[in-house]
Amino acid sequence: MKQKKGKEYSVWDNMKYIVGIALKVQKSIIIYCILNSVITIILNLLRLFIVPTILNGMEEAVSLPYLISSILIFVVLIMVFDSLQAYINANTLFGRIELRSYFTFKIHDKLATTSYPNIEKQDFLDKLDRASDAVGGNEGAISTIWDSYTGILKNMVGFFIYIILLSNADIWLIVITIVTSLVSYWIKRNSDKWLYQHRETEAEYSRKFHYISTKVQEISFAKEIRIFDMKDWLKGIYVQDLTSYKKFSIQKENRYRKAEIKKIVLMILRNLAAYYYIINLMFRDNLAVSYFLLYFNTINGFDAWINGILSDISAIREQSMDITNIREFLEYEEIFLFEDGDSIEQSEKYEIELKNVSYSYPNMDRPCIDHLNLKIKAEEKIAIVGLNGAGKTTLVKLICGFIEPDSGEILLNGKNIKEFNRREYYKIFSAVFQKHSILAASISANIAQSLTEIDLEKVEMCLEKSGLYEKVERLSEKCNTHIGKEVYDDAIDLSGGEMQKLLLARSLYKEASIFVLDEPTAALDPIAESEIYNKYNDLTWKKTAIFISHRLASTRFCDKIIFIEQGKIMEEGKHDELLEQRGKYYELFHIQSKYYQKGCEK
Amino acid sequence: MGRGYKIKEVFTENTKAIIYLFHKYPNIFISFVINSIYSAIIPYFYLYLSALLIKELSQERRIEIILNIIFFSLIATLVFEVIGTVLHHWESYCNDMYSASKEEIWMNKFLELKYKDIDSPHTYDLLAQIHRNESFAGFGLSKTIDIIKKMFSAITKIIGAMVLCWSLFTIKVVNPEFSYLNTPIFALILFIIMIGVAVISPIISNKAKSYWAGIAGKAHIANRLFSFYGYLAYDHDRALDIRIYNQNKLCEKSYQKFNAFRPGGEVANCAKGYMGIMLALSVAISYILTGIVYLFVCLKAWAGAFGVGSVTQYIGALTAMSGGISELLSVYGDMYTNTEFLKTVFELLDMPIEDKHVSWTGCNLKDSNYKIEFKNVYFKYPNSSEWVLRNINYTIKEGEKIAIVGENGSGKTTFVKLLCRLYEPDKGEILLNGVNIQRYNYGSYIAIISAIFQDFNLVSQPIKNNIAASGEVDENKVWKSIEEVGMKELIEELPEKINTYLYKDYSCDGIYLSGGEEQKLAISRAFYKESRYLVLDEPTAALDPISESEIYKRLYESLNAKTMIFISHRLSSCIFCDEILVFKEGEIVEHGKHEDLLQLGGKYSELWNVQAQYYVSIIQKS
Repeated sequence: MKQKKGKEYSVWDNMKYIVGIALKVQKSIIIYCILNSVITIILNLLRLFIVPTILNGMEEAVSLPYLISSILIFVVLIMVFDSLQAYINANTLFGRIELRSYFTFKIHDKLATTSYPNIEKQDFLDKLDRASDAVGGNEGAISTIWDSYTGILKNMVGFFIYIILLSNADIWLIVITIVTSLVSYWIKRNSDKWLYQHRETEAEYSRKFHYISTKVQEISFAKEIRIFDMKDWLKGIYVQDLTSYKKFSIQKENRYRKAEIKKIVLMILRNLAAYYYIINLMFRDNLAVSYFLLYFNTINGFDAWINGILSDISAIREQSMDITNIREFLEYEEIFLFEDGDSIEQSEKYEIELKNVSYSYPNMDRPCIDHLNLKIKAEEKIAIVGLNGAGKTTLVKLICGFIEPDSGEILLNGKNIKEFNRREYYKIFSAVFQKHSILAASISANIAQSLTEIDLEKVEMCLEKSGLYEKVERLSEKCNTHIGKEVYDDAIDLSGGEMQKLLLARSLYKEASIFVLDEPTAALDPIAESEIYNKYNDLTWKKTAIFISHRLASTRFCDKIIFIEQGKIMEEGKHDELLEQRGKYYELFHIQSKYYQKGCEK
Repeated sequence: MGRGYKIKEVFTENTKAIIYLFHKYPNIFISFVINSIYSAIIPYFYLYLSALLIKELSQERRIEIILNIIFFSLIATLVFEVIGTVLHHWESYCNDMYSASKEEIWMNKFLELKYKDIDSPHTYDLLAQIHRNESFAGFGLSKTIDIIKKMFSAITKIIGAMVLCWSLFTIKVVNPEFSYLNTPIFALILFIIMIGVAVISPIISNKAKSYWAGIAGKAHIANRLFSFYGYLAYDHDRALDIRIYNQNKLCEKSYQKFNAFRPGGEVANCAKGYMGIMLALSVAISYILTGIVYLFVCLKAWAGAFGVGSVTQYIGALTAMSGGISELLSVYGDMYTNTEFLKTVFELLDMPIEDKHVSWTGCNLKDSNYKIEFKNVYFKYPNSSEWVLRNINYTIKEGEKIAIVGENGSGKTTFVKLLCRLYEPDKGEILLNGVNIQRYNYGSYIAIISAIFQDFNLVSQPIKNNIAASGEVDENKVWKSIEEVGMKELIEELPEKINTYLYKDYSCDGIYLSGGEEQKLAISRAFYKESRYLVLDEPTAALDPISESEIYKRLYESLNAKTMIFISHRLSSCIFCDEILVFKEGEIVEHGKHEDLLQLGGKYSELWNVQAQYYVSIIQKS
């Protein structure tokens, strides 16, 4: 996958951005970063000096109390700072979790409220993936960037302190150390680059493993796996991917190993130089052995600081790219107007008009909705019927304002819905869609769509109207019974039919002006279905209602039936009128009803 | 959290896990062990070499000896590091392989489990717990991998340090003033303190950490709610409802309410107080040992027992040894915490799998005349007291076309599940040609039945494999099956035809089909399988009536001698059937032909009239 260059945001920009948010959300993150760096450096210096100091004491035969007290001072200092470090480490996580939650929520909120067409765009979904990766888990950039900031701070300070320590040594020693560090870093970077380029490949493998194993663990799949004996096939898919992943991993490790061996050779060269200079120094100045230890360790440590700085820089650059991803997602362009849009006048009567509306899905040659004109008056009950693929659901999405017509316009009380605040526009609809979002919460919370503000009387009324009341009454917890097994162990399962009744109750509770019911009875048994039909006018009393179905006869109770085919309105009128026209509707109706006819004639 | 496990229990569970992993992944296991040992032992060589150099530098400073030591050190470093790198990348590769194949364990288990176990909420909950524990902090089998690595490393460290420190205790101080240092009591005291610190320090930190694990590992409702509401919108199917019902507002509240790890929350406060202090304390205690080691070694050196070179060697080795002991104890702490999680893991892994040993095929199932008979069958779901099926007596004769009707919850689907042997009857029996179906080998029994359920599944794999339900495909048969369900035209238009992938999970060129088209594909599986019995559980709900009647027409035509049993809410598709079974509250209340049942005026005619009223009255009018 190609990464778009985050040209808008530099590393510096992103640092300002993320530190700014951290200061707003959780200041402790930054305080802990600074504390951590300072303590790390102090500890490092204490550890560097302890053994040489002791050795020096012994070589110079200082007094015993002096030796003992210097040991004790060192040990106690290390003890204090290291404990402090442990305490800080135990506490750093929480601020970061808070910041992560902040972003997790921001991303989720954007996803949940963005203009609907966005979530069908691959580009948007790719950006979502990247943004979620950057935030997800303790490994996401949003958490790890603080380690890098801490790292660069302490490595820089450490680097300068060690330069001072080494100022006695030959300048060439410093140069050689810096050069070997740079070269070995460059070697490492090259092999990392390879992995970076192949990160997508690796992620794809893990997606595939995850997909197939999760799929197999779906309960509904278990029946088919057994009946069609799919076991070997499914196992085979996994094994096949595993085999090719094996090759990938071997290739990856070989590459790393080669780079690593080059680095070892460099390290040996550096050590050779270090030995040479230090031994020289010792013989020249006749230094004590403790200096050898001090110098040798300083050079090793110096190398570590340089390496630290370099790898922090590259980590920050990478993490900064991830932060750019987050920002790009959060700032993704909206198609609809929300808060900037006009607000909708509160009214009981809304009239919706589709004027010459066309819509086609990307990659489809023929339009799904084709120059369609339709007027839905307030309190009118209309039915949209047609076969699979006629464009019914697309039409509903257009009316509800989820998608934008390619041409033509949709008017609400004469004004193009584009100009309104889209969130307010959604408020005028109560809907039952084919795909739904049931919450892990109680039955009443699902109907009221709130965890706290629930009008129980109204909930019961809606349950009664939708025909679910009896079932709920039989449950021991009644309305408070939980749904959603993924959260509640005591949750109940609703059958497909019960679920549709619940969805209907939810739409009744909302009491919006316009009902949209997309095949709300497909999973109901005939009796339950018929009950809903009989009550339909009562349920939608004083409301506008749009009923979508592929069963022609089921819509007789509507004021107007719109028969669509290939995205066009072929016929419209009352059921009887349409039959009298003897057109397409009549024809299809006959196919559907002939079985019932026959059955009765016999 | 499991509190109060006995040592024996901890060892049994962990040993079981170690043995399981060794059997499952011997190569990976060996690589981890070798690596742990190697990387624990190498630092001692460096320590020894550097001590040699310091010794020489601090005493005689013979240049040729120094050069020899340096030369040897450099060569040794080269060799050790190269070997280390090779081993390390072998381990990395094994790590990759382990994380890639760990999901396979659960996948394979789910392929083998008995259906009734899969369908039980308990199993589902176990699995959810296992995944949650794994993703939270790698508890479960992944923790065992850590334990194995740490254990071998710790033991190696301890043994290595013992070798290097041996002389510390054997070399005697010459200075009579300090001769008390020669008594074995000193060594003993040192050893006791080392053990003491090594025991106390990890115990404290384990305690602090286990508090953390206790909060997070527990299946906290808050955690689950957080992950439910925090990721609601990622489910594309929810998008419409979320917008119409403004569900994002609910999610916002849940973020603040259900996050246990927020600053100011339970865990964070604990980290500021008790847990943080305990962790700091456990670090502090370990330095008591460091202090004593330094003092003892330096005193002995001061008294002239050995030179400065040895000082670095002993201090280094003793520090490493105490590290090793701590590590060993934290291994025990990990084993202890992990016991609970391993129990969950093995509860699922030890569940019985589908019995493959029943190999009796009874009679030659190939060409006999089949008859399936339900005899006084009663059934209720596990953990439920309600009979879902009651006193079912019915014989399915070969070649019959049978429709099953009834209201939601009347037992229709369960009847089909029993027929497919997904469940066993609690009372009574189901006989195939007079023999209880449980006695047949499952493979040979299910070979005669195809069943398509309402909640069928398709996999993101090529269309042809989805139809064949297998990796090996007879393409001609695939085309024939596609034609039977009326999908030939659509698939012929695809550039990759039957090799086209479904969905995008496996291939970015994959396609999405409409609900109706997916159903047709699922049904085509049954044609491919060519079994004698075809069971359809409302597979056509998403189809419009025309497609439905087309599919049924084709089915009637092509099935000929085959037996078909289907559940449908659209009674219009039942009228051609030889038999209609009417279910009510778990019983077959009526059965017979359409006309007979209508005349009977019972449940069936009630259902029929409700549906037919719209059509019939109008037809009569027009």
